[in-house]
Amino acid sequence: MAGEDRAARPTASTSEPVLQVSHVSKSFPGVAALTEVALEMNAGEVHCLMGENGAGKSTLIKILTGVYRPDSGTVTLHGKPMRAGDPRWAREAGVGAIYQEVDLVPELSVAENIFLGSPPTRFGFVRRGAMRREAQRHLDRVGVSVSPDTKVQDLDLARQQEVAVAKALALQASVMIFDEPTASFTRGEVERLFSLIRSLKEDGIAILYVSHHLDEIFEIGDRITVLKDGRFQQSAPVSDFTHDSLIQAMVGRDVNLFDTWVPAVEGAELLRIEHLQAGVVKDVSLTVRRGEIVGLAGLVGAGRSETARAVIGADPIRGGTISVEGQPHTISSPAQAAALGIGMVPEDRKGQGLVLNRSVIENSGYALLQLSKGRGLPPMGAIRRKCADLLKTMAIRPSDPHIPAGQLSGGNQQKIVLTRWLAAEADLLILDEPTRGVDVGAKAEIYGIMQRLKSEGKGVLMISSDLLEILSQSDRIIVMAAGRVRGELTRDEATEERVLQLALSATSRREEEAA
Amino acid sequence: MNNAEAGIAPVKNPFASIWSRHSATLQPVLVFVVIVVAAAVLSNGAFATPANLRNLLFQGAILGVCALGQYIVVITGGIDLSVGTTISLSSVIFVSSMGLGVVPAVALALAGGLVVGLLNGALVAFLRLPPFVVTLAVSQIAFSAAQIITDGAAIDRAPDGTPIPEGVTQFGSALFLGLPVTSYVWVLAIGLVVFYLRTRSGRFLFPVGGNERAARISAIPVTRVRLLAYAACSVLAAVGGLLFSARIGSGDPVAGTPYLLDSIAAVVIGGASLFGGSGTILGTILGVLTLGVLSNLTNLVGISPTMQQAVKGVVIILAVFLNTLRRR
Ligand SMILES: Nc1ncnc2c1ncn2[C@@H]1O[C@H](COP(=O)(O)OP(=O)(O)OP(=O)(O)O)[C@@H](O)[C@H]1O
Ligand SMILES: [Mg+2]
Repeated sequence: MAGEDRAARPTASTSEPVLQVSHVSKSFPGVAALTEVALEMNAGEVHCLMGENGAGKSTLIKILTGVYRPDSGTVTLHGKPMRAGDPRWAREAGVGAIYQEVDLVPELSVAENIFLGSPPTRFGFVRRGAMRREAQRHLDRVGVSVSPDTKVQDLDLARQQEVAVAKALALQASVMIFDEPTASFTRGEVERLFSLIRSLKEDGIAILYVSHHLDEIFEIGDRITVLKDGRFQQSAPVSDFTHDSLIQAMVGRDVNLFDTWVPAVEGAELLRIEHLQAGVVKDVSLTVRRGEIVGLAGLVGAGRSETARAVIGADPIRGGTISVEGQPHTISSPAQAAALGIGMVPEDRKGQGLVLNRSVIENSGYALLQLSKGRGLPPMGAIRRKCADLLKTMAIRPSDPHIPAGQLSGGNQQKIVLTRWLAAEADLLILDEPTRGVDVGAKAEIYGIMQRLKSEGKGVLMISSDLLEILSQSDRIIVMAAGRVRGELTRDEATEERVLQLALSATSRREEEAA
Repeated sequence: MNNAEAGIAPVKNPFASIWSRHSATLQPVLVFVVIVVAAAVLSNGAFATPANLRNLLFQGAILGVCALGQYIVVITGGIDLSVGTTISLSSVIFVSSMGLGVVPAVALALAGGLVVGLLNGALVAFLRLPPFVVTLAVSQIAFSAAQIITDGAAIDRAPDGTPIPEGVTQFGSALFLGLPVTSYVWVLAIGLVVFYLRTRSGRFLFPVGGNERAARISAIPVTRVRLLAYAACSVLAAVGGLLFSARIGSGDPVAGTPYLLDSIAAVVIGGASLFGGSGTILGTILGVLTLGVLSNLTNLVGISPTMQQAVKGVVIILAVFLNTLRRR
């Protein structure tokens, strides 16, 4: 593996590290996010930062990029101490980052975002032509086909993430940081990113890479540092780790992700969609029964999330029928869907899942509060108790349910949204990318919850771009492409190849039509 | 993002930890205490006299009731610029329908407020128009309505000649247990709003203002919550109009004008975010009292009336500054 990179490696290992973190600590009110953390990054090396949700990865990254100021400890860049808490300094010193939550300005164009803050100018005027050309060059290098003039808000999450990568490239950084860049990527986009990272490596750039996908780490990483509860746990070359030993280091116990599945129990039909049309959804028919998990697979843009949103009445429907427990219904709002026992966990938890400035417990109780119809004031005591109990079983950290949801790490936020529908005891749960950005331990817990719901006679419709997740958790798999259902596979028939074949069938059809 | 951490202190300092948890409540308390102390010191004892404090409550009650409504709307991330004209409208409807008797006149005035509120609410909630523009436009309509009813003049009796009964004006100036009767109306309104905040709809004000899209997907009936908020705001403003007529003894088509900006100022000084989703009712009450003490103070200390507004402006800027500092 290491033999591939030429010149950069030998010099890297002999010279001093590009970036060195020692004894860095950082606390937020009530939480010690990082304690005495150390990290060393070398030129031409992909350094993977691993740890559970809330381990402090993003916090460390924000210290490296100057967004946060550490309480104590030092960071040196090329042997010089970094100026703490000064993002501009960090940027100019050559630290580029792609954050976990995309930080582009939605109203601006792609080119404007790439050069935000430092556009090419002449006599104080922005050179628009030069800016577009330069932006195009960086976009080409990332391999993404969007025009520099497109507004960022018109791009999907994966495309935005790629634009963020191009933006970091434009800095000509010597340190590049990727905080869960692939969370919303499909396999092809991951491949593209990896070939870019390999070429950055050859250019002698030091790379910090965060992901909860262990396979990616073993594919692209050179070295792994594990954080646990904000403390340095272990650092070693990737070859010293196995899949299991890495999980052991992060979680402190063995986790088996794919043994959770239990056979489905035959149940009555919960949901039936016939010839649904809405937004990019052209023709979708499917059913979900009690006691089963239906996996909805497909490429990003296939219309899976739109199908889900239309079912719960979040988006208007153009045609088709929806029946719940055999009764046809026109569902015009998520509140109405909830009354029929349908709840959804959306893919974009910050934008659509949580009210970030409200507390964890309040956020987890909204659906139950709405459903707890009855005379007089809502029974807040009972609602709070139920939510608090569920939050405890979800092992959300930090465990104080009264802190604002925005202060939790990504994976823990996901668990809050899930808790909301567990509290409301929804019969049918629609989960849109339920484990995106969730650590292995929590992923196993979420899988466990899904399987338990199934055995309790509830139905689950799970949208996922993670093929392993689809294959390991579903009882039935429906594959969508270009707004249509392309096929349905039973658990036994389904293989990676067959799902992909169906998911890609639309592209070939489109090509046929074009020809 | 620069210096984003400036407001976050290390965990060791217990005061910092308490502050970070309760700053939303503590901030308006702090501002209020500072202003009261300033008033007590600067006025050489003229501030803390029963007569002066009573006077403060007379003025505070009207604003207090209206600011409660503004608070509700601000929590949803909206704003109601029609509060002032709704006060005026209610006041002229009340006096001009005195011929029907006091109780029907009160009912009509409140109904007038309700109509304004439902109009605001419907346009904002159903048509999803921006609250700033909607309430500004509805305010213009309500203004004309108030003008038409009285031909543009202040009135002290109905067109049929029925004057405002003495009972009403007594209500506006009487004391009960040493305090203005109108201030009990304020307390009653506070009680009602506190109750409202505990209902389902009231609890949903915060998520609707904090993140509307997330609120909707969480099964919250966003449209209904918004509609109710604007309706409640305007009805409270109408109550303010009634209190005004009772106190001044007239129906005035421009009576409400000063109350609009003061109601927003009170909510802001109370620590609520104009972006919605946060703010306490205690803060708004203290905001009203802070404004009252402030104008009282400028009177007592002998600052010229022309300067009063400037002092108020400075305090508002200070409060907004504290708000943003706190949220970093
Ligand atoms: N702005 C903040 N205010 C208060 N606490 C915070 C803030 N940001 C992070 N934290 C806390 O610091 C700890 C570390 O969070 P961080 O986001 O660094 O975790 P992470 O390792 O990136 O997790 P994930 O894998 O879920 O993204 C968590 O306990 C989190 O709740
Ligand atoms: Mg993170």
